[in-house]
Amino acid sequence: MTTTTLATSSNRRADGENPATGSARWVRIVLTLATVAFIGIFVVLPLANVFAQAFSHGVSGYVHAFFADGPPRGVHMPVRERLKMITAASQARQTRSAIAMTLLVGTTAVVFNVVFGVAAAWAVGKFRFRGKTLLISLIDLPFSVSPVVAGLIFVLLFGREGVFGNWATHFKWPDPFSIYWRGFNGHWWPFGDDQQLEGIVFTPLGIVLGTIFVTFPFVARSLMPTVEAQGVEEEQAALSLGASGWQTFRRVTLPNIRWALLYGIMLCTCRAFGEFGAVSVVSGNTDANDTIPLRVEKLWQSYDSQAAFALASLLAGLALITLLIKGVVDWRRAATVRAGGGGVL
Amino acid sequence: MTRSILFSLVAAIALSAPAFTRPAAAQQTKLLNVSYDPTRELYEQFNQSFADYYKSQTGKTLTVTQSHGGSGKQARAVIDGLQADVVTLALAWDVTAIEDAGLISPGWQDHFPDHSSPYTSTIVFLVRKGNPKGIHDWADLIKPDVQVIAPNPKTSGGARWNFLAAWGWAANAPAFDLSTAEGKQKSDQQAAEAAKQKTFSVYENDSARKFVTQLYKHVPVLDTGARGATVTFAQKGIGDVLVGWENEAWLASDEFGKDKFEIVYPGVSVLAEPPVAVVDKVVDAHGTRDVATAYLKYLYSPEAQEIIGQNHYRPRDTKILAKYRQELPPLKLFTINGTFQDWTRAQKTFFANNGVFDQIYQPTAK
Amino acid sequence: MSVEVRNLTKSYGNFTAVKDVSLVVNTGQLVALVGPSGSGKTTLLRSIAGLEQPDPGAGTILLNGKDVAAEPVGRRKIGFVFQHYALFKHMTVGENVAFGLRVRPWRSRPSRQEIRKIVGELLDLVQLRGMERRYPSQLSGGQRQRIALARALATKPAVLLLDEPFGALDAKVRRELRQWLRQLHHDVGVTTIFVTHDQEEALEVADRVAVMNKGVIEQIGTPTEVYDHPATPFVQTFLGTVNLFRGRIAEDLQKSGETSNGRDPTSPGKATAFVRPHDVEISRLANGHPGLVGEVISTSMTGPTTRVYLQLSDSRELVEAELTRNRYHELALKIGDTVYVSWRKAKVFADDYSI
Ligand SMILES: Nc1ncnc2c1ncn2[C@@H]1O[C@H](COP(=O)(O)OP(=O)(O)OP(=O)(O)O)[C@@H](O)[C@H]1O
Ligand SMILES: [Mg+2]
Repeated sequence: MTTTTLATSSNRRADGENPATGSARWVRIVLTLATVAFIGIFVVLPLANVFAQAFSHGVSGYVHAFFADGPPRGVHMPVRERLKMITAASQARQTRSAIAMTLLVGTTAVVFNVVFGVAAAWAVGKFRFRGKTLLISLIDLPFSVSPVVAGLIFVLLFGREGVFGNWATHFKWPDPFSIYWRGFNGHWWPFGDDQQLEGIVFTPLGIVLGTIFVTFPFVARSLMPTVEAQGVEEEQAALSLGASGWQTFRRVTLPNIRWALLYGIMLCTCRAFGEFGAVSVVSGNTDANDTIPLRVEKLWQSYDSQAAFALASLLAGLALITLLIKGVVDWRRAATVRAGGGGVL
Repeated sequence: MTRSILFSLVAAIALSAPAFTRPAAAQQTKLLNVSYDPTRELYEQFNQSFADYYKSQTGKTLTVTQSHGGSGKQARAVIDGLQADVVTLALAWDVTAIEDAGLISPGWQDHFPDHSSPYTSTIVFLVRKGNPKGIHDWADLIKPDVQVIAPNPKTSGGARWNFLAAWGWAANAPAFDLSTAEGKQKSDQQAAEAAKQKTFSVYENDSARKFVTQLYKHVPVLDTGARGATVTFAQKGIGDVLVGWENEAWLASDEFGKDKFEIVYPGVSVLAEPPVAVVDKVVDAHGTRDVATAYLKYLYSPEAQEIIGQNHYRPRDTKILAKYRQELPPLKLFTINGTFQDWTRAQKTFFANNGVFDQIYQPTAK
Repeated sequence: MSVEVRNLTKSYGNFTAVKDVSLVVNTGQLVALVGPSGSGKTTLLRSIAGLEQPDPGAGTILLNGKDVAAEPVGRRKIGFVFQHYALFKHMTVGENVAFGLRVRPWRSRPSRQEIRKIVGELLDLVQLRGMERRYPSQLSGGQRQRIALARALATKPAVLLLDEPFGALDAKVRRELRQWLRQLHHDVGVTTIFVTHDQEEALEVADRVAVMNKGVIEQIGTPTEVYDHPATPFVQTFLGTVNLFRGRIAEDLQKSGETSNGRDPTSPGKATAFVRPHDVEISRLANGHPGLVGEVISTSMTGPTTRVYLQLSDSRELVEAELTRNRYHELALKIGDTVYVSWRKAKVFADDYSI
């Protein structure tokens, strides 16, 4: 994808054929080749390797990483074989649970960050107030804090011996995987739960918090320049034409920031799905709290590198899909801009 | 476009919560076992075995969740609020730390047989095939061109056993073949005497200090856990010798093939007794005391001891241990109690902040 | 709808952008707000629209005699045209114009066909029929301006507030649009306040002109009043070019010709005479009148008149004179010629009045 972008930009320059730079054509060729080689070595090769390793035991091996049967009951087989099958089945089950956990955590984090990111970008971009610079630095803070430290912050806050330890360790909440529909008969709230979880750190809630923390800047940061550049006049115009606050947001603000928002969401999703450090600390190494990256490491540490790569290939696939979406978005945006829609990123 | 985002959100939630529209399943019993690094495979198999047993006894379904990491780090997490029903750690001190935090009642070492330690293990060397650096005993580790891989004693339990093994060897600690009745008796006698003593010259032993200082100069990276160190050595191919758990050495050579590595048993090593304990505060809150106790007790059953042997830990059950004699040969061992009095003393002297380890180990500037 | 502003003060932090301003605009009037950049025109306009809140307790805004302090922007029945158009970039021209109608609650919202019809009419009015499908970025500056106007008119506002409607346009287009605005106002008859810092525009288009300076309205009146009878030196200087002759009242100033009213010219003390270029007289001979002596520095032809720049020989000050073509040829001035300068009409302010 990156290569395509590069290619188009150099094409564009070639169209304009500037005589002053035209003489240095070979510079352009050398630079392009160097870039392609660089990307080939550092991006394409490792990525291809991920897939090659993932399929090193064929398609069935790949599937086996996610779905493996335990030993058949009642069938006699050597102890070592039996134990191997038990391990494989348990590993596959945990791998699936890690995928579910990642989707859940990632989605929650993205939803939160979209809400707060839009709010933050709005506040910073549209208003002047005391402490604004401080707020911007605070929004950027997760970029400069090591993720591991971020995780530890939550442990120090919500751990048993932490600042809010007493409250946090007894905090009960429903396990999202156990929520089911029970209907309205006799209840005002139609959802029930089988299982309650307790505590914040070392539970999925801690994972969500850690992920939100490290991904917070992405949405806010990708929106800020756009929101700021947009200024307040269009919104004031909408208000003066009788639009309500929500109508103004929905019909004027949102269409103007949609590409930036989509881009922010993509960055945020990738990071949320791929986050390791912060999540590693607050997961307490518990298998039930594993997300895909944590699980990849555990598989790798269990010497099951094929399964580790199979799982990693999902993340790599996600990255590729993201790039694809980004490509489409860029293309669509360019098209709208050409049509005069002025979709500023 | 908003609609499509909404759609993907719904899709993601639906995918991640398959239970969403399912009617309530039967109440499940859950247990969290917080353990140290190398026991992942052991407990995966043991959990299955116990769940079957538990179902046959009570008709209830049990789900055991595992957590593995450096033993010290794991203890820290439990102290910080990780809701472990049981801990199965690498060394007694880490359980003591949890006890000190008020989560486990004193006397836990007497709740299960053999000081609440269902199996033993020891520290051995893993070298590359053909033993190109000629490593046969502790002394060979500090030969000039040898790179040693070992984890960090501050975070890893196995690493602390490594340290004690090296120290004990260099201090000429008396060691016994514990597989013989005679050796066991001598060892117990030594421990009983040690308990009475006030001062322990082994802690002041100069040659031990010198040797261990030398040894850690040969370690290029300290991983946080035993498994990390094994991965560094076996999978990443760094270093000439891995000093670590016997079971780790075996697992690595099982996984990568006997043609890659060789296990070297040093002349003398330490008897490691990884302890297990029920976390009283947690099981009382969860109402899981009975199942947690049954879980740990089952570790001593023949089925479990068999699994333990399969995973290259030394079963307590002498009959089953004899079955694995080939893989787990007898060797001369000294015990922590006989040589260092107890874990509290060893921990405070060696591994506490500004203890001996901090004094001798300076991370090499890279 | 009439607009009345009473004692309005608006500050940003400790900077006061509008100080104690009062203003009355009668129904159907077209009022121009002029003043240099930063004088508070936009601030005043935005306060009327409700886009800014006056300082607490400092000022009342009445629309049709009713205090609108509690009314939000959307309910003041005001059409606001922003200095930089503020068109919705992502909407077509048609959607832009229809916006105010489409966001109405469905009960009072016109049907699709009606909306289309209204948009068509408005585009006719601003002479941009057939451009519904274009995006703002595909329009010229003047066209955008007119769309912004059409958009504001779509909701049938009772008051139209225009912030420098022709600010970003070139002179020729401005002149065209000026006439067009005058015509439009005549046709639609909506109360209109428009901001400009181009005095010529204000004088030409407006029924009344309010001159602002440093957050204060210095004078309000018909274009003739403010141009010919400026209340302050600032108004005089701001509306058109003037020459300044400093001197002592009754002595120096008297000698260069008769003076017009202003401050009492007979009282002694320093004063300044303000003379418009077309009131400056140049002659080759000292024709009896006491005159000043000057040297021709340069000349330039601007359409039917010619501008002559002179330097006075005693004070070394520059004077600009505007002569008819005929008069210029009659004098046959050449650069370097020494001539006598006097004026037909001047406005004298004693020097305690600072600009
Ligand atoms: N949001 C604000 N915060 C602080 N000061 C402001 C703000 N808006 C305007 N000002 C100040 O108030 C004064 C008046 O501003 P205003 O925009 O009303 O001027 P104006 O007469 O419209 O000028 P122009 O002709 O350049 O548009 C200026 O000095 C400006 O710097
Ligand atoms: Mg302005």
